[in-house]
Amino acid sequence: MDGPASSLKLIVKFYDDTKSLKVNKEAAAILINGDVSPSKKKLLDHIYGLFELSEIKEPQQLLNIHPLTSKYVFVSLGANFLKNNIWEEWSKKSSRAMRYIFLLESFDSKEVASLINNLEPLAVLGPNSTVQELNEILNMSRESARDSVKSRETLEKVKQQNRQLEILNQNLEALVRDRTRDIEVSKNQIELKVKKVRQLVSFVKSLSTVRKIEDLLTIIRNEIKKAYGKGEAFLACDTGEYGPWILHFQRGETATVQTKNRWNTGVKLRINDRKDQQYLANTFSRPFGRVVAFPLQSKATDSRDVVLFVEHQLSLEQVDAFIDYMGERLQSLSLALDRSLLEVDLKRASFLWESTFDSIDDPIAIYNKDHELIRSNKAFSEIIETVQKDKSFSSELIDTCIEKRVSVSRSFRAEQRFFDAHCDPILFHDDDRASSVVVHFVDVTNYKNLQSTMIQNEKMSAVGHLAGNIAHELNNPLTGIRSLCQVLIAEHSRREQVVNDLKEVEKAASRSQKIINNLLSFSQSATGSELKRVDLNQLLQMTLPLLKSVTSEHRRHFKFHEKEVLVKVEPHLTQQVIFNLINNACQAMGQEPGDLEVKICVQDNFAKFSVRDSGPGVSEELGSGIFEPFVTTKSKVGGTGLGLSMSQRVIRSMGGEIGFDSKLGKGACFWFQLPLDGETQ
Amino acid sequence: MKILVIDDEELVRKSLARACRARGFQVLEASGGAEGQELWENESPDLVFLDVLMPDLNGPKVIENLQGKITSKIVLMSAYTGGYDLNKAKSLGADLFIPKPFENIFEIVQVAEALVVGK
Repeated sequence: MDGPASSLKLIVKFYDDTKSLKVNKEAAAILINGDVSPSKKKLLDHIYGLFELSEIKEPQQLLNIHPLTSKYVFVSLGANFLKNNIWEEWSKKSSRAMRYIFLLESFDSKEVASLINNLEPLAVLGPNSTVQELNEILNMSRESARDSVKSRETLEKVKQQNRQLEILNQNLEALVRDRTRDIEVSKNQIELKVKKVRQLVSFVKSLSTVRKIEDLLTIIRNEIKKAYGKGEAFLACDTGEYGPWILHFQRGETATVQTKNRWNTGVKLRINDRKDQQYLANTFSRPFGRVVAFPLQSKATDSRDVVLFVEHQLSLEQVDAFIDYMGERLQSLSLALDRSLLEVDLKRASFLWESTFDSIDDPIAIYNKDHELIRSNKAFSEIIETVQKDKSFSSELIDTCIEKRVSVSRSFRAEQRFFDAHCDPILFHDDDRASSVVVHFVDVTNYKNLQSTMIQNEKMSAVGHLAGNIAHELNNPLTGIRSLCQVLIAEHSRREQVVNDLKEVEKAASRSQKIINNLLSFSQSATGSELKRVDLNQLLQMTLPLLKSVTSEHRRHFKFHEKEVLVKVEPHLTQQVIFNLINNACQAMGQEPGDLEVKICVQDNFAKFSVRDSGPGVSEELGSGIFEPFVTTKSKVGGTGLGLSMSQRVIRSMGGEIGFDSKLGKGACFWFQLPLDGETQ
Repeated sequence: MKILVIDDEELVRKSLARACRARGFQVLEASGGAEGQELWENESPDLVFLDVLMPDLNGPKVIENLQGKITSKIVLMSAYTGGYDLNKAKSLGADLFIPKPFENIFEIVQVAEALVVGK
C-alpha cells in the first residue's frame, strides 16, 4: 500500500463507515511510518480487516487522537523511526488509556526498550510476529479491557455501594442521634417523674406516721410550702358531735376554731370560689385571698364532712399545676385523715369512757385471773389500801369467782364505809375459767347506818313501849309501897326510929316512881302529837317560871331573838326539852352560883336555842354518848339518865338536831336547832 | 261511913283501908272485880274506891254490871293515864278520877270524904 493515497482512501472509508454506523468493527487509528515488510503487510491486512481504521500521517497527529474514537493505535514503524525525536516528546504526552500496538521491523533493543518504558504499549510486534500472535494480543487486550471495564464497573458499583453505605450510615447516624436525643429527653422526663414520685413517696411516708390531726395539717402545710413557697392551709371538719371546727395555724402552732356556720359542702373541687373566700373571711375576721377547696372523702362515716381550704396567691396558669400537685396527694391525705379522725374519736371515746367510769361513785375494780389489778376507777383508789391489806379478799372472792365462773358477793368494810362487794366473772367463749372479774363495791354505808338507826329506833320504840308497860306495872306496887309507908308513918308517929326508917323507904319508892314517870314520858314522846307553829321566844318565856327555883341562885342572862322565831313543833314536848336543858345546866353548876346564859338566835335557816353554864363541863370522850338513854352524871342528885335521850328524840322527830360543846373544867353549852317555819328572818 | 276498896294491888288496898280506918270509917276490901261487885251489891257502901285494871273484871265493867243498883260515890283509880281522865271517868259513871301514884294517901282520903259529905 502506498502512503498518502491509501491513507486517504482509508480515512474516507472510515468516515463512510462511521456514517453508516457499522457497529461490528471497532474504531482504531493507524500510523504507518517507514517501510512495511511483507510479513508486516500480512499483519496490516489483518488489522484492516478487523478494524475501522483512521489513518494518521504525521506523528504529531497522534496527540489529537481521542481514546473514544480509537481504542487501539497501531503504529507501524520502519527501520529508522527512532531517529525522529518526536517520539520522545510524544511519549511523554500520550495518554495511557489508549492502547498502542507497535509494529516494528526490528527490535533494536536500546530504542525499543526506551520506547516501551516510556509508553508502556500494549504490544510490540516484530517482523516475525504472526497474525495469530496479534489476535492473541488483541484478545488479551480485549479481555483485559473487558476486565478493566468490569473492574471499573465493579469499582463503580463498589463506589456506588460505598456511597449508598455512606448515605445509609449517615441516615443511621441521624437515626441514632435522633434516638439518642429521644432517649435523652425520655431520660430527663423519667428523671423528672422519678423526682416527682420521690416527693410523693416521702409525702406519703410522712403521712403514715401521723397520728394526730394537728400533725396532718402541719405536713400538708409544709408540703405546700415546699412546692409553692406561699399558701395557708385550713382543715375544716364537721364530726357531728361537737359541731363544725376549723384547724389552722396561728403563730406557728395549730389551733382550733369552733364555728357556728357550716362551710359550703359538696364533693367537687372548688377553685377560687367567692363563697369560700367570704366564709373564711367571716370566720377569721380578716380579709382572705383566693381559696381552693379540696373536699376530702372520709370513708369512715359518710356523715363526716372534711374540706381542705388553701389560701393561695397563684395565677390562673399556676393554679392548674397546683391542683394536679395536690390531686396526687389527696388520696393519701384522705387515708391519713381517716386515721387521725379515728384517733380523735378513739381519744374522745376513751376519755368519755374513763370519765364515765370515774364518775361512778361506787368503787369498781377489774382483776385478771392472776389477781392482778387491770383497771379501776377513781372511787376505788380511796379503798385500795384496805383492799390490798385484806388477804382473804382475793382468795375468797376472786378465786371462787374465777374457778366457779359465778357471781360471788361478800361484805367489805373500809374504815367508816361499808360495802357489799359483788364479784362477777367475765367469760369468753366456753373457757373453763373466767379470764377476769369485775368487782363492784356497792356502798351500803348509808343503808347500814339507816338499818342500825331503824333497829335502834325499833329498839327504842320497843323499849318505849316496854317502858310504858313496865311503868304501869311498877306504878301499882310502888303506889302501894308509898301509901303503906305513909300510913305506917301516921300510925307509929311516936316511934322515931321506925318513922325515920319508913321515911327512907318512902323516899326510895318516890324516887322509883319519878324514874318510872320519866320513862313513861320518854315512851310517849312525839309520836302522833300535833305540831303547831309557835314562836320559840314565847315558848322559852312560858317555860322560865317553872325553872324559877332552879335558876334563882345563878346569874342569869337571857338573850331572846329580836324578831319572832317561828318553828313548827309540839309545844309541850319542846317545853320539856327547854326545861331539861336549863335544869341540867343549873344542876351541873350545883350549889355554887354560876353563870347561866340562855340564847335564842337564827343561823342560816335554823332557829338555834342554847344554854351555857359555868359548871364542870363534860368530857369530850363522852361525846354523843351523852344522849344515850340511862347515861347520867347526876346519879347523886337523882338524875334518871333519860332527859337528854328523850330530848334528842323529840328534837330529831321535829326535824332538828341537838348537841353540845364542852371541855372539862370549862363549862358546857347545850344547844338544839330547829328548821324555821315560814317568814322568820 | 262505909267504904269499899276494890283493887288487886294488896299494898294499895291495905294502905287505903288503914288510912280510912284511921279516920274512923268502916272499910270493906275486895281484891278483884267479881268479889268487889258482890260486896258492893250486898253491902251498899257510901263510897267505893275502884281500880280500873284488874285481872278478872275491870272497874268499868263492874260499874256497868251494877247499873241502876248503886247509889255509892265512885272514885276511879288508875296508873294507866292513857285513855282515862275525869271526863272519861264521869262518862263511865264515876264521880272522881285519881291517877296513880298517889303523892299522899291521906289527901286522897280527904278528897273522897269531901265527896261523900258534900253530897
